[in-house]
Amino acid sequence: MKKYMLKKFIISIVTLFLVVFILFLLMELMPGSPFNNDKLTEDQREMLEAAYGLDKPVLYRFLIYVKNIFRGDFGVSYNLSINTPVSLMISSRLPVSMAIGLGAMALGSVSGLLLGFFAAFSHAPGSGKYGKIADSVCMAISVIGLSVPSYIFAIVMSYFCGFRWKWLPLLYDFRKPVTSSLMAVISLSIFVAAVIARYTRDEASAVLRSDYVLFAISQGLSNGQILMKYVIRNSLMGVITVMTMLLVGLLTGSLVTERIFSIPGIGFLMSSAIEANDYNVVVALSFVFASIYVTARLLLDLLYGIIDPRVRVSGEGR
Amino acid sequence: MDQWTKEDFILKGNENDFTIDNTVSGDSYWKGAAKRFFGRKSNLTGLVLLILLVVLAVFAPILSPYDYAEQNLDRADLAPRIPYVLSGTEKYNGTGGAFERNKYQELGLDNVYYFFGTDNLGRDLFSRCFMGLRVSLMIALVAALINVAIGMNYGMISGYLGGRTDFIMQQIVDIAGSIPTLVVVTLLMIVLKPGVGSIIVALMLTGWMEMSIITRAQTLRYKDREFVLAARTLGAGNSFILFKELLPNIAGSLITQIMVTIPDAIFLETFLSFLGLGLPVGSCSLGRLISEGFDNCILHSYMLFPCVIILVVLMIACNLVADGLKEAFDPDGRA
Repeated sequence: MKKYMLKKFIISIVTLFLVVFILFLLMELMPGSPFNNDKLTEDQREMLEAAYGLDKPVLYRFLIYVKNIFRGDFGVSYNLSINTPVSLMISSRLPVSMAIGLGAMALGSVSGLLLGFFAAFSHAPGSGKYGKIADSVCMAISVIGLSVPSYIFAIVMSYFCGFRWKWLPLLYDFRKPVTSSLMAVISLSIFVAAVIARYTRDEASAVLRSDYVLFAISQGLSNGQILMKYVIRNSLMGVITVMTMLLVGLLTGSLVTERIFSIPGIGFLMSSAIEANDYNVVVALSFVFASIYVTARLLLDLLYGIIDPRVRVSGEGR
Repeated sequence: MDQWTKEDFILKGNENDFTIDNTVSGDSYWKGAAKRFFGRKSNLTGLVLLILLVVLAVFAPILSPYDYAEQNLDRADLAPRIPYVLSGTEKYNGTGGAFERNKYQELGLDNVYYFFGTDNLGRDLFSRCFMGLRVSLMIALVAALINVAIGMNYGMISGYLGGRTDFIMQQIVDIAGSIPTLVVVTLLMIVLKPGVGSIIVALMLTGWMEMSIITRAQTLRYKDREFVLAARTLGAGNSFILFKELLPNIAGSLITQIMVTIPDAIFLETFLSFLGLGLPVGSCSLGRLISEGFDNCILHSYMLFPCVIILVVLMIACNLVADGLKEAFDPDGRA
């Protein structure tokens, strides 16, 4: 177990370093230098470069860069809000995105679990014709949720619920953050719900077909009791494996969805920084996204190793 | 030693007596997969929709009387008009209340039919939608094929050679796989010039890993089987074993994986174009059309919905076919 944990931890650290290295490399590859002024003499340029540390070797500058990044110093914004520290811009927007992401995760998980268990029970042996139809309907919903990108739901909802029928505010409003971000939460949660529904259904129907559930049924336990006692506990395990996939979906989805509803989160910041070529902001946000993802992966790997001993054995054997 | 000839043998018994017992014999790999695939309605629905879209993408821009890129400002913002179905009348919800307007009648265009209307530069949206579908499909197909080619070779080499090579190759995949796709693609698109080539490069850099993991697992599963041992005993070289013995057994998962990669690639293209990182303004792809349609959808909703519907149908069809293939080639979920 220790070896497994250590290995996963080292991989995460290496990955983050690699991300930082790629970001640094991109900075280096960007054309132009800050001192491209013809009026500067050679001496003056050298003085300026010395003042900003640009005369040092590449490796030294990389180490400085790493040090700054781990201190949270990403430089200042060039275009979006001039001379504001990027870290400040990010930290003020992160809570909004977190709230929306967590909301989508919660809403999606609950509806996905319900849908999945419902489908599994209708799909279980001896459920009859209506059960089959109910199962097909649930699976059709999950296929749509899996295939259609979340921003399409966002666009369609913003047009119908926001613009046409005026049920919900079209854009984000500071005074009513809950109602005005509801559409974003729903559109992001559909993918989560679809993924969880599918996995829950597969896992739960395998549990329902198992001998011990058959025994429980023959003992006269009701559906509710079987659900509580066996199905939930045994099928949640599989759902953990798809969590990273969900996180990727949420991160990617937030970029466009936040833009569609003008939600002042990091996704919107990223997409406007891309548009404005605000390089420091893009680099910093890439690092933030990467660290969120890597941390989540590490946590899930460890969690999975704890829950399922087979994983860490095969991990060590490799 | 004398060579045996055919005449040395006498056929025993009447050959017409033989029948192959079909009740117990199993289907071949491909036949069984085809049977399972075509036996499910959802797979057929997906396949039919996909074929329909591909046919439309190929022929609709050719058959349409209007060019997809030709601008005609006199005919800008025309609502959809289809004979006997849509009259081309558009409803406006202005500040002065709702009113209806038929631009075809105002401009005196009697026998002119734009099935999906025109955009704000007067370009025919019907041709544009299917041209965009064609471009998106092509990007996705090329990206998927490249991904599969890279991932397949990587996975087979890693799984077949094993040992230290496998260990190092797997660590590379592990690390490369933990950098989020989103970050790689976004940064790449900022550095490279926007265009079809850069999108394909971005998709290539991020998509091969899953393929390599699947191929490696399959190679590990088959490489110690008796038929591989038999081939090696008969003196077959490594490349013969890899491509003639192992590859046919992995072919099913390769095809499945191509079908899984295509919708991913389409999604990334539309996503990047929507963010302004995909194809440059003026080019035509599903992502650009959706992005342009969204900018205009408050006033002219018809500019948004046809391309959104095409994308939705395409994604659902691809996913249905991919799911069907997964089940057909791997009925009990071993891979």
